[in-house]
Amino acid sequence: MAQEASSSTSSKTISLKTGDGEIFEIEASAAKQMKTVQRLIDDLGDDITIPLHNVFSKELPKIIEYYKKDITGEITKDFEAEFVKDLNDDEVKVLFLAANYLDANKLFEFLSQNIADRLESKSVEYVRKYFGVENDFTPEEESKLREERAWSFRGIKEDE
Amino acid sequence: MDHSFPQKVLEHLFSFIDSNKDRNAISLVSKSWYEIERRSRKKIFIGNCYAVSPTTVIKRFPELRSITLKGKPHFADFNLVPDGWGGYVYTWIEAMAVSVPLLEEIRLKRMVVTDESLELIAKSFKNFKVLVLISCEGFSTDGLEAIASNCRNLKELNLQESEVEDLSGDWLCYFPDSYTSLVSLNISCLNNEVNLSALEALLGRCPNLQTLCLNHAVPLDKLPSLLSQCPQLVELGTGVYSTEEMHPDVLSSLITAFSGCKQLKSLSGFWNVLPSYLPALYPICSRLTSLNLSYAIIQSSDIVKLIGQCPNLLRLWVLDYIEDVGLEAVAASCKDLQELRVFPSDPSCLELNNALTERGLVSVFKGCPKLQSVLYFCRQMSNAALSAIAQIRPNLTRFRLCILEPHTPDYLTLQPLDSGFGAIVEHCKDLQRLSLSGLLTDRVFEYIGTHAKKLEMLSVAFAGDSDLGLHYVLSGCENLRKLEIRDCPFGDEALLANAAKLETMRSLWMSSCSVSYGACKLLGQKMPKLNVEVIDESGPPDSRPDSCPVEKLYIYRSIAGPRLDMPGFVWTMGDDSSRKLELDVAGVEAQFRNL
Repeated sequence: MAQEASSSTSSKTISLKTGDGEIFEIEASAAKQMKTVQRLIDDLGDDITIPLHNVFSKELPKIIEYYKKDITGEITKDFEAEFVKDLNDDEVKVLFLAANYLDANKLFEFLSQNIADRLESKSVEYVRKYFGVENDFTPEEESKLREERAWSFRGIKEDE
Repeated sequence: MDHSFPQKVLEHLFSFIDSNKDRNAISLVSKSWYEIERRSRKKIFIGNCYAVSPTTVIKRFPELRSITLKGKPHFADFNLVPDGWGGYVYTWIEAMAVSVPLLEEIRLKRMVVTDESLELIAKSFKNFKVLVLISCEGFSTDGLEAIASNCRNLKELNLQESEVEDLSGDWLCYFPDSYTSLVSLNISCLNNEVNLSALEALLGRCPNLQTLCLNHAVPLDKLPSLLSQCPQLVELGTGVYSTEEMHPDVLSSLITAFSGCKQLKSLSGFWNVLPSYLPALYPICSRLTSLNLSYAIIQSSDIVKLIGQCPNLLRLWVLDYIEDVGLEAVAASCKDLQELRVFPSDPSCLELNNALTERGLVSVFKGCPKLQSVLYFCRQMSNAALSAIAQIRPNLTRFRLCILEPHTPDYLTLQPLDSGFGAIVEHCKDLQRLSLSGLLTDRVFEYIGTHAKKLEMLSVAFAGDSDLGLHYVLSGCENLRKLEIRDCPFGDEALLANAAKLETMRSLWMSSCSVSYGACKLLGQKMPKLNVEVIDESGPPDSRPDSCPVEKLYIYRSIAGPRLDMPGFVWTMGDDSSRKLELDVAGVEAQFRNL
């Protein structure tokens, strides 16, 4: 039935519904880049509004913006720099997890690099806070590891 | 939304995190992060090969592909570490051969590498790609034969400044005809001729070659034909840069050859320069970012002509033949210069050299706004010049000044150079590395302890009046990692009072100072996590009174305990005798169990 009703893929749009109930349109060719969405389309058909329980109205438009540029081949280093410029660390994190959930590979890779860049030279405490991870080392364990880290594996600037 | 990161996602994220520093940080976040990180870490840097055992490293990082190890203390470069001291890499190779067969890269500095080690590398690591041996020793061209024959995927072979027993130049012939993956070859340290036709053939079949550093035995008239095999070179170290007599046809072939190398950015070599051949370089000078003339005996006028055409130079290494006038030319032409090293042509000559003075150094600082890293050998200096430098260039990060004659005062005022170096540490807030020289009192150490908060490495020789000097440094320099001292009147007090500081540093070297054997023993007992090694070639220190000073002292923190490969003239202080006994007993027990 999906095949009968389809016009040319380039003008076909898919409806996506976020976890907080908002609906967004996306071109079918862009949707194809998000493997999770494509799988849902394959299962449910392309006339149905695809439910994305784990993605919300704050981040989905940004993702759609990225893939709009992708299908026209316009993703440049400048675009990518601009794309993340005004995002704070938390916003990048949310986008990153959304890209993972959607299996949107290109965006996922790009955001992986961006997060790695943001983590450069950050302290252990900062990283814990950023990822919301609790420290489950005992003080003794942590102290021993810090010692091992500093004593064995730490370079000084002229070395590395 | 679920904000937790699945393991696969973390693993993927970690693959973008490359630096040792950042990986060390993420490994401490939590237990699960520690596990994910350690299983995915590919590269490890170990600044002191005795700080940790190979077993510990391999157990923690089973997926290693690249390891960097440093062995002897830096003062080994000045022949202060006796032969046989240690730094053997074999036990590391042996352990990795068994447990890390996919290892691809080994980078070593100041280590002893035997032919046995090279043979083991050649046969154990099927995907071996990079071998870098900087200032290493203990191997011969036989070991290189093994590498050449077996390492099918080798990309880099770099023997920079190593001491190699050069038995035959034919080791190069052992690279099979099917081998084409060479990217970087540095054989500049070899003394004898290499088989030139084998070399030429090798260059011709390796299209990805970017770096080629020849040794002085490669004659100049062979250079053009070698270069024609690899015009894509980015970095070249020439062989000898002269012929017995000037030949115009050699010059013209050189010009053609160099002009063909459109990517060439870095030059070195230049043993024995005949100035008439320098014009061959002129066509490529404007592209050069790095020029190493530290073996070139050429007059300053020739250097000036060359430098004048190198506006894009970032790095310049040169002998003091450059003179002040040459440094003024650098200041005028090389506005992007970041690193300068001026070496002494005749270190033993005590005569004042009026041609290379502090004026040349100041003029380079004045003219080159990006100059951050300097090594300067000279014979005279003034506080005024040092203060001027400090104020002109507060972005200095590495400053090594070597006034050749010990205890040389400010030549204008005859005062110590305390205030000059004081100005350096006060203004250059990002200074990471500093070497002192000249007449210096405890005052300079007070300045250093007060201001040099980012300093990580300090080298001191023939300076200071008392223990106070050492105390200022150990108690004030928060980021100090390596401290090396020779011929200073520093004794027991400062060392014992700052014992805890030593656990925050990689290492401390003290030779020809006044540290007593008794103090060393005490330090060894008090600080079990430090290896306190006494080096004394005049015989066992306990055959003399405890108050006698030790010849040399090397202290470093370690989680591996005392090392077991010490020669007869090195003793580890502390509980080592009982620990060694423990290990001996365990060894004997193990043998009994095997019967």
